[in-house]
Amino acid sequence: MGSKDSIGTREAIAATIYFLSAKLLISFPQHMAELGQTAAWIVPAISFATATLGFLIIVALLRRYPGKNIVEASEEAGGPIFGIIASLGYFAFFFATTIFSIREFSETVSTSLLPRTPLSVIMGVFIIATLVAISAGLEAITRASLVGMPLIIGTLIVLNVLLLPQSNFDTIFPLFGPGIGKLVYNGIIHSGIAGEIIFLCIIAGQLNESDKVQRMGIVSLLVSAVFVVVSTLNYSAVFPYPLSLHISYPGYEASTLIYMGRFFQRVEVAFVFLWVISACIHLALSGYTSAVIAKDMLRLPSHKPLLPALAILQFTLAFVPSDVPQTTHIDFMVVKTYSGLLLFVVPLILLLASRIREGRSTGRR
Amino acid sequence: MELIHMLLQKLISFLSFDPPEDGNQYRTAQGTGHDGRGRPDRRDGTDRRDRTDRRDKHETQRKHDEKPDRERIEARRKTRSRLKVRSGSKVRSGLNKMEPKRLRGVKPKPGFGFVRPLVIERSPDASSAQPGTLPSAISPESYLDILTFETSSEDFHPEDEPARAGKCRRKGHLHAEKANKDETSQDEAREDEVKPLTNDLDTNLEMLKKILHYGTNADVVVREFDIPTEPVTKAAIVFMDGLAGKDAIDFSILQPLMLIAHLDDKEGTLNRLEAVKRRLLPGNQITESNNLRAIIEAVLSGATCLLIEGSDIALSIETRQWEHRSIDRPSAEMVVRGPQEAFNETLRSNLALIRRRLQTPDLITEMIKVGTLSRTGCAILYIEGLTNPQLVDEVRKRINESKSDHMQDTGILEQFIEEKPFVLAPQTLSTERPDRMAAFLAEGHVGILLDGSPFALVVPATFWSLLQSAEDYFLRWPFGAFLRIVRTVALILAIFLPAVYVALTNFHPEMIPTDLLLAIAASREKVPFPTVIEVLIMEISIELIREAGIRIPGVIGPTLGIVGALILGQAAVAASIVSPILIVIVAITALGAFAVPNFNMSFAIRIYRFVYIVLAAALGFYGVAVGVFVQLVTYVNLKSFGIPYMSPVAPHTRSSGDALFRYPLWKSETRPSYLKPQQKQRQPKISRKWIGNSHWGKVGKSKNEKGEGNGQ
Repeated sequence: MGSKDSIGTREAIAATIYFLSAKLLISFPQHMAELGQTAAWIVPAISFATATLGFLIIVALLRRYPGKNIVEASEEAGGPIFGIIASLGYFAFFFATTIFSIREFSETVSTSLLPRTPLSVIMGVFIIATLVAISAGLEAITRASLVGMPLIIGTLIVLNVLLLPQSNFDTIFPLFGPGIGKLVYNGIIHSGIAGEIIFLCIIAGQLNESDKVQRMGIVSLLVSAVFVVVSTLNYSAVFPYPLSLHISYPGYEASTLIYMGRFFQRVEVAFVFLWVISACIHLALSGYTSAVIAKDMLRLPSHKPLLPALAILQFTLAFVPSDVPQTTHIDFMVVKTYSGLLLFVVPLILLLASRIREGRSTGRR
Repeated sequence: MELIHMLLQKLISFLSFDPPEDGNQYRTAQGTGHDGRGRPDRRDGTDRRDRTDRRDKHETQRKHDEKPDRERIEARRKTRSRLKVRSGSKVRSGLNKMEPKRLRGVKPKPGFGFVRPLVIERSPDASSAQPGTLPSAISPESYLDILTFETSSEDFHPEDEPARAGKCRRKGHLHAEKANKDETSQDEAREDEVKPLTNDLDTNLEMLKKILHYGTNADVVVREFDIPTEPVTKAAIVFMDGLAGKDAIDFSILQPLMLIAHLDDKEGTLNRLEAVKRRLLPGNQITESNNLRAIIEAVLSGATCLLIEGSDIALSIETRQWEHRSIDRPSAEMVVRGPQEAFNETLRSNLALIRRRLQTPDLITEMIKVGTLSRTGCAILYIEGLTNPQLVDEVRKRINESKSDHMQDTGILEQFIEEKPFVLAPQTLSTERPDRMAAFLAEGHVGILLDGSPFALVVPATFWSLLQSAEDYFLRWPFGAFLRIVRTVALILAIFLPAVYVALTNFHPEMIPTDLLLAIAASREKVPFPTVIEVLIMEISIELIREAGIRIPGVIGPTLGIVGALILGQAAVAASIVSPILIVIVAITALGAFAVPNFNMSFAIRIYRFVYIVLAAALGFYGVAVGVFVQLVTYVNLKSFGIPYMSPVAPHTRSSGDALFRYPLWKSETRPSYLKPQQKQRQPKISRKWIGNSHWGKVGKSKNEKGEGNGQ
């Protein structure tokens, strides 16, 4: 019976939602507070909206090269040199995302669950687990995402509902924080926070219904945006600005505040348990994506030979930032800031180049 | 290379103690003494010679064998002269007496390696004989040689070998592949060979006696008699004592043939058999066969074979009757409400139990023999026009291509046909309930039954089906759904409870409510071991009791319960080896494992539990969470006969929602789409058509009339 990888629509959407939303479990809300102050929740809303536009541009580029993913389409549209540069950019984004995510998730586990365990052990276990998943292939990761989807949705809903007694929504005023102009600017500049949507364009060739990439992407962006915006809003209400600037893991800190009577106390461990599974899925997705981009660039038949090398690189590079603040700062203030430019502007240029080239060839005829 | 090759051949010839006659022949597998896998080669000349000698010895010892030795020797001599050995283009007649008898009629194929496939070269006389007859000059001994010889009809292409070798990088792999290829070709040759009977009764009997080891093998019965015709017709029956019913043989075969036979002399030789079959044998199933293999298989399965002088066709008469267990209650899949019948060890009864529940002509039973020695009957069941033909092909292919000598239970067959043997999750579903098998067949699954096994296999299996019980469907849907939820909770407890206890007490005590924490601390005050050791001691004790409970003789069985309860319940706590709370944890865990309806799944859970205990002891909840992720990835990546193991959840496929939960049966309109059945609809969209038409009232009338939703 069938042996070829086939990714269904639901699986693809579930994986993309995981990819886009798992950042809520780390220091994402803290950096949103840094950018948007009391209007921290508006920044991701604008970023997601911008990313949606960028995604539509990429889909338009993909439509010109049916059956190809974004790496192959970039090489077709921009030629070998520009295409390779674009692909390197995509690879750098996902590889950096993997590295910083590993470090941040490991730090979260170290802080919340295993304070006396060496960070290298926690990180090593994460890498081994994700290696198993990446070796199993995209089909396995996306299906695991689908099975785990209720976990992340349930966790976020329960967390937000249980936090309502602790929330004070007066703290979100002034509504536009530093001002609409600054909010819009920050939101657009930081559109890289939804840059993981490109994942859909990289696996486009393996989707059962590749013609529905656009719909899948928009649904994923919409659902993730709702999760991210609502959760950020709720965290802003629980930890008002400027207190929110000093809380590295608002999700974890907020879960410690949950009180459900004398018996159920300190339930944050249960949340962290579910977050670890979500983190593994997120890391597997980002690790797989970077490996596949590298494979396409190097024109290898399989991504598996690259895995040990990439894993060692990730493990090594994840230790480069000296501490958690530095890690999160590089991740959100550098990678996520400039990646938007790369992820969404480069495809626009490629699309234009492709159209111009097509126009020229039509003119010659 | 040529020189090395020649030297190696010399060495092998020397080691095999088989003096080569002329340098370019017979220095292949015949002389190595091994079949390429380190096993003694059955084709080895010396071995073969010994076996033939033994057979000859038995032959001479038989008192009732009336044929003079001289005649047999003469026949053998004639055969030798007819079966000639050819090598390359040269035809060589006559054989050296030192040369193993096994080599006759065999030429080594040109090719690679020292273990080469063998091909029988028959003499022109033998090949030109009419189909269905054997040249009279071929003696039983030589004929037996041909029959038992492993022949290959495939051409061997040495030029393919480098390419094949390139694919198999590991040397061992190459070796195993070659060995497999050889075995496959041998089996094919055995299957393909149709060995005919002769017109001579004595020759036929001789062949059968040889093959069945008559004289040595006490179970074989050969009864020769005369059919009272003019002139008298000699006949014989062959059957296995204990497998064939004696009454049937006496009253339905021998009596009519010996006492009431009045065959007209005018009838020719061929018509005599027809007349016996049509007028004298009252048996309900009679099969004609002129194929030795078919006859032997029939005799070995309990049929009686009738041979008549002058006929090259034997009759296999159905006389199977052996002692077997009657149909009993299920022992592993008990239900309160529902059928109380279980499979037993007799394939025919089991098939009848299923067929009684699926009285459709489309229920197909395909029979395959498995096990080269056991030749166990294996039945593949499916519903023609409903089951996905690709699935049936896959099952057929896997069973056909599973080669082993002895397959006596579906538990053994299961290990040969599953996809990933190193994954703990069971990939087939075993059931002892015919009603459950019938239900699975009706859904589009394929059933596999084995003669002698009271457990049938259902393929493909999904994770969810292993958590389901037959009773789920016999109860009203809320009760069935509730049972499923209880079972899911049981599964989670059975896997995770001890691990969670270890993680909580070692790493996250803050999660435990203060009062409970104090109680645990107080109970553990006198226990000298760390929690993980404590848990492992108890879990291992439970496993010991469980295993001992199965192996213990029935008479002292109740003692075990008392001993176990004493050790676990009181003595261990009193001796401060474990804390009382741990007894509760372990007891709940054991109950959870017992609540899982599938025996194989229960085994997997027991092993997973230990893995999670170790992970929890090392990394707390983090370790458990990572373990869950790895297990999840493994499960979603697993396939059973090409069907994803976690279907219909991941990948999501259309189904009637019969996975973790159970919906009302009247809403289960479609068959599981992951099976790709040919008929997707199980029942019409409006299955309770009486609603609205009932004279009792207007129950659901409006909906049904409108045809909305399910209309129920």
